[in-house]
Amino acid sequence: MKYSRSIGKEPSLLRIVLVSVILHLIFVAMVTIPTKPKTRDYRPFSVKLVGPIEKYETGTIIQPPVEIKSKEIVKKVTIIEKATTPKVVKPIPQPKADMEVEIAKEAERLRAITKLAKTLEQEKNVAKEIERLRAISKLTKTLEQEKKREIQIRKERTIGTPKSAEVTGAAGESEDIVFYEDIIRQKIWGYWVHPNHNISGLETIISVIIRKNGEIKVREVEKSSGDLLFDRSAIKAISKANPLPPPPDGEMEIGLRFIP
Amino acid sequence: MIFFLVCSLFTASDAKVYIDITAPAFRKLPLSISHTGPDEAKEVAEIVKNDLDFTGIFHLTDPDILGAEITVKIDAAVSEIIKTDVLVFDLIKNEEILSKRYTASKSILRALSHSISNDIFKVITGKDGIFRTRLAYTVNSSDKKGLYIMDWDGYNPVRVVAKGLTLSQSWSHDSQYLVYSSERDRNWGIYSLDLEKYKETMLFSGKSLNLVGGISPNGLIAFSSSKDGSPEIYVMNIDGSNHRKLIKSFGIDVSPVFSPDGSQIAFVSDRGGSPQIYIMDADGARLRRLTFEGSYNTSPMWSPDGKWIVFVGRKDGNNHIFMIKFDGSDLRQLTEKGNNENPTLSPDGMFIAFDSDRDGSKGIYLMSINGERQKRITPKDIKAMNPKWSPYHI
Repeated sequence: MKYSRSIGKEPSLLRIVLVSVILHLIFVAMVTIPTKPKTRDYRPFSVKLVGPIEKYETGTIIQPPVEIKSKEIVKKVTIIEKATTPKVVKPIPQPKADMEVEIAKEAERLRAITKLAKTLEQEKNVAKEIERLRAISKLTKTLEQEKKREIQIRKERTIGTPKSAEVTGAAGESEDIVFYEDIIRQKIWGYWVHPNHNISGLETIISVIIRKNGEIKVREVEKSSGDLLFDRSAIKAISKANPLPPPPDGEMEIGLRFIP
Repeated sequence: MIFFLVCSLFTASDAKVYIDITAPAFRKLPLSISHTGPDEAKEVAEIVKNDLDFTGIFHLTDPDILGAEITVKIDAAVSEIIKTDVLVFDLIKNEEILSKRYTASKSILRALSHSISNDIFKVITGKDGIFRTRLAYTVNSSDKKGLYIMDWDGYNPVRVVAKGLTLSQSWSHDSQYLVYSSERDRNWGIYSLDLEKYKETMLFSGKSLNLVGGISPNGLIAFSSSKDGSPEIYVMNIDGSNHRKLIKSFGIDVSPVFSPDGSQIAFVSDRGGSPQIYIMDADGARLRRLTFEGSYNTSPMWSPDGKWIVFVGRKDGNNHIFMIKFDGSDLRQLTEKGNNENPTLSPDGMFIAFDSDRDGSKGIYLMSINGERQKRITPKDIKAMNPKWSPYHI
């Protein structure tokens, strides 16, 4: 009786989960879809290029030249677009008609002008940005220095008096060590095999010394798992991984914790 | 599938780095066994090989080819008695881990070999081997009926009780007694057989059906009796004294088995409408239902660590061996073919023996606790069933 009741309850839970998943999907879709049209917004740019040359020399390119609407210009617009875009792919195509040549020339001029205007503006902007960046970098530097000081203070508290050499290269060295620890982990793991599936809950800690030349020496079994085969598999992995690459800071002692 | 737990710890005191290494690959331990001496040496080596191979831990390699991590050398000399020198060498630790001489009469060569297996298993895994344990079982073939005991691998069967029809035997924890139900003169009585003195004693009898369940570590026998109508759960002392009813119900309560520490009893009851497995404290308190899947679950047995219950469940019309965690979670099916019944666990919890009709006639099978390496150990012309695994020391 209990069995059949429990079966009756289960589908309702499933339905709830399904409905919630569908609702979530709809919500996510609603959020993500409207962002796409923004990227297609390249129309105003093509209009800029066609603007009357002499009128907008000073760099006020942003004003849309909507007033001039002769058929020629409209044609030009379309032709320029066609002529210029392939130019990127084919460097010097010989235009057959004179019209096209003129149009191409005009387009080049336009580009030069817009470039000039842009560079002027950009220069101004760049200057501003450089100032900003300088300010930011100053801030970050001070923050970093503060962090370094904190680390130094912590080190002094935990280890005692630190050597001057250690302090100066602290950041670089710790990165090296983290990288080296990764190498140790990968190499020993690569050799770790166990003949029994049923090993959950076991833990073995083995203390080893890694010599300057990378040779591993087992110092002691710091914590035995109580399972002879498991301890053996850990020691075997270490002995097969021997030798390791030389450690970055000379001889070191580490604990290797084996957990399934 | 494979992942690392990247976690380095700096302890405040000595700033020693600890690197975690997780998720080892699974690979059997390569071990080679070589032998020198007369034919008996080969025989011993073969028995040891079979024992170690069945554990699933070792990969037995050719001694002539490199690759073994552990080498076993067996050297035997035979006259009236067999003298066997065994040398076990660990090539990883680069040290000799066992060097021992075994001496025995030729007639017990198998027992001597199983002792060697036990010692090798112990020095490598640190755990006791089960290679000297035995199985008590019943045979139902016309002229061979009775209660038998054989080695765990099916060799050396010996009939210990031939009288009447015997059922539901159980070992006492010191392996001294075998307690069983037997029908004599149309009465189902409960008997105990002293295996040292080879003496049978009647503990309980009546017109009703009285079936032995399990025996607790301190020698309490749990059994079911229908003397008051439907079968109910009782306990009594190992000498048959002080029997008392543990739990009352209107339905059928049978197959009571003690947990390894003796604090709880698992049994089968149909109080919920269908036979299901229930657990209660050894005094009958705190009754709770363990199995909910399916409409027929019987024959509970505890794993030696008390964490699992192995039982028989009916699925698609056939009976199969299942196991489930003591708290009712993690149900696993272990058999696939035929009808598989009466599971019993080895004392180390690594193997299950059971009976099955998958090859036509009922026979006794072994498998590892995860259902792997299933094999028949009794001959096909003998109808053998209801195995019960002995404790370690026998």
